[in-house]
Amino acid sequence: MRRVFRLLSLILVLGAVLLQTWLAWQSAAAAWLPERVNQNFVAVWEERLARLGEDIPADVNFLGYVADWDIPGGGWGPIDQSTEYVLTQYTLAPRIVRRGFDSPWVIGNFTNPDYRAWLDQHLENYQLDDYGFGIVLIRIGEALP
Amino acid sequence: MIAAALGVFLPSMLGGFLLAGLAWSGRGWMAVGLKAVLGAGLGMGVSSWLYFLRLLALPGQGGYLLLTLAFLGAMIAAAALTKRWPWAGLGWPPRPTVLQAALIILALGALMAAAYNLLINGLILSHGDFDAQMIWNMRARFIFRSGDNWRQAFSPLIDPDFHQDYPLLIPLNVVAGWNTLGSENLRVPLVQALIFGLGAPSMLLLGLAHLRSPGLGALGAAILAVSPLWLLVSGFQTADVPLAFFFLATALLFIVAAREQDAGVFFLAGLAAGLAGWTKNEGLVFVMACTAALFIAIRPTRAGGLFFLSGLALPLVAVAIFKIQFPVPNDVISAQGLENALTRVLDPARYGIITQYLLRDLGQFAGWPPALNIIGVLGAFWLAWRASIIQALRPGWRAVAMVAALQFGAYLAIYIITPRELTWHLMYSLDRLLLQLFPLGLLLVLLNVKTPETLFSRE
Repeated sequence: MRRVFRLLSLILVLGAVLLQTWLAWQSAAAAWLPERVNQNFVAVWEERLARLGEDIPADVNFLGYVADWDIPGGGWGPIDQSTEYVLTQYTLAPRIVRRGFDSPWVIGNFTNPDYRAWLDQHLENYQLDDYGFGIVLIRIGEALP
Repeated sequence: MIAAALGVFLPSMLGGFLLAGLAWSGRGWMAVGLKAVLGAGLGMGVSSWLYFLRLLALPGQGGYLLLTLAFLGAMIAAAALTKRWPWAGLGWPPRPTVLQAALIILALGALMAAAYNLLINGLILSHGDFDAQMIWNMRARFIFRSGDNWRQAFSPLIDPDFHQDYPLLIPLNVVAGWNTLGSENLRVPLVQALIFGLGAPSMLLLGLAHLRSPGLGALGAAILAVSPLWLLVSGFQTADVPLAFFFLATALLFIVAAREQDAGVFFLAGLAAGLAGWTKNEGLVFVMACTAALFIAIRPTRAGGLFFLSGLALPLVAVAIFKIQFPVPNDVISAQGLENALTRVLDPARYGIITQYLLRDLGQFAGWPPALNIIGVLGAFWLAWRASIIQALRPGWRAVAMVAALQFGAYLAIYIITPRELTWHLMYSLDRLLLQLFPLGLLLVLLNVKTPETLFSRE
């Protein structure tokens, strides 16, 4: 009886392993397309920020960052806020990107249409360059042309 | 480009293999295989802290290949002088039984499927997951792109959410690879993820085969290699799987060292534990747990204890220099006041929330579907096959069990006092912390059963 129980438990382990082996192979095979290589949201974000990165002078090492989460009632979501903040820093490294207006060069990332009113409340004089997809470069003080 | 990235790490992995052979005279095919896999990880760790010392000492970032070739050369010279080649005395491999052959084919199939899965997902999600972009690959980018000003990667201006206090084994290997290849080659972090993601199951296969039987090793390796969360987190390019690799390496070396009372193996165990501390902050807790377990459960000879501590000291010197040179506060510790911590400790609701999340994660442990819960599957296997642990393996087994319990207890303690929002903290980290301990759990369970080879033998 004990031997049967052993055999059954071994079959259970082997069956579980075989199933997961097949699933691991199958899911990878299903995901594979040569044109998908390196085509991920980081690549998209890097492309989105490419022109902005070129427009910031090479000697500027510290950038501000404001987004919907700074606007009262502007909302917060882990994907469109935290993730995009991290992606912005990841893309622009070794420049330091930090939340707030502590630099004359500030990246804005907004979906909230009221963001201009919010900027007007917080900044006396600024210039805005729009890069599409809600991304703007806000120049303040010494960064103004 | 994958071959080029692998080539960058080859000298350090070979150097680690020779180092393992110098320190441990274990004979037989499984022991030699174990030295190779173990040595690959140890070599990656050693070259990482050597490269860190090189960055501190000299301007520029080049020279990794020279450094690792020097390490390899030194190991070749030492092996030649002492005639302690890792493969010394190796004869023809033993002929496996039909059952053993079937189980080994199963394990190799699982490892191949895991490799294919990691490779495809790594080619598509070439920057790893969110944590890799926020911490590990981000740090590598900061260091690589800063050139001589690489210390800027630890500037206090950087958002503390990006964890600049985390140790550097993973990002420095990436930086070293990029410098050697001359660009931010995305295959470098992928290759590193493959080495550790496939290395740990391979180590379990060879370790259990050496200590008990190939059939048992094959079962352990197959279970770990295709566990969905193991595959997922391996591909994340974060430090959890490399950390689990060093946990398992230390555990296997503890068991071998306790059985053979071999001072050289104690040295390797110390080195593996220290490299866990150079991989992630949780590794520093592991170092303390290992030291306690060694002297309580194994009680090594004076030489064994000293060799363990000397192995430990090498990577911990790098950790100490890093923590002194770049004193970035840890988010969990620095936001902590004694009064706040005490309030949290005395809050019964927190224990309820932690238990709730723990049960939830145990119900889908390592990503296995609830219908095939791996704890249940292994539990059934253990019930049917349980046996007392072989006498010679008992001190090592006890030490590993103690380390796993202490590490698990430390994780729970962190959740009790965390200043972060508790459910958020549990939601985004508990499954990965449990995964770090999964190889140790597998090892402990599989050392506590009869080998599958005995299925058709008389009781």
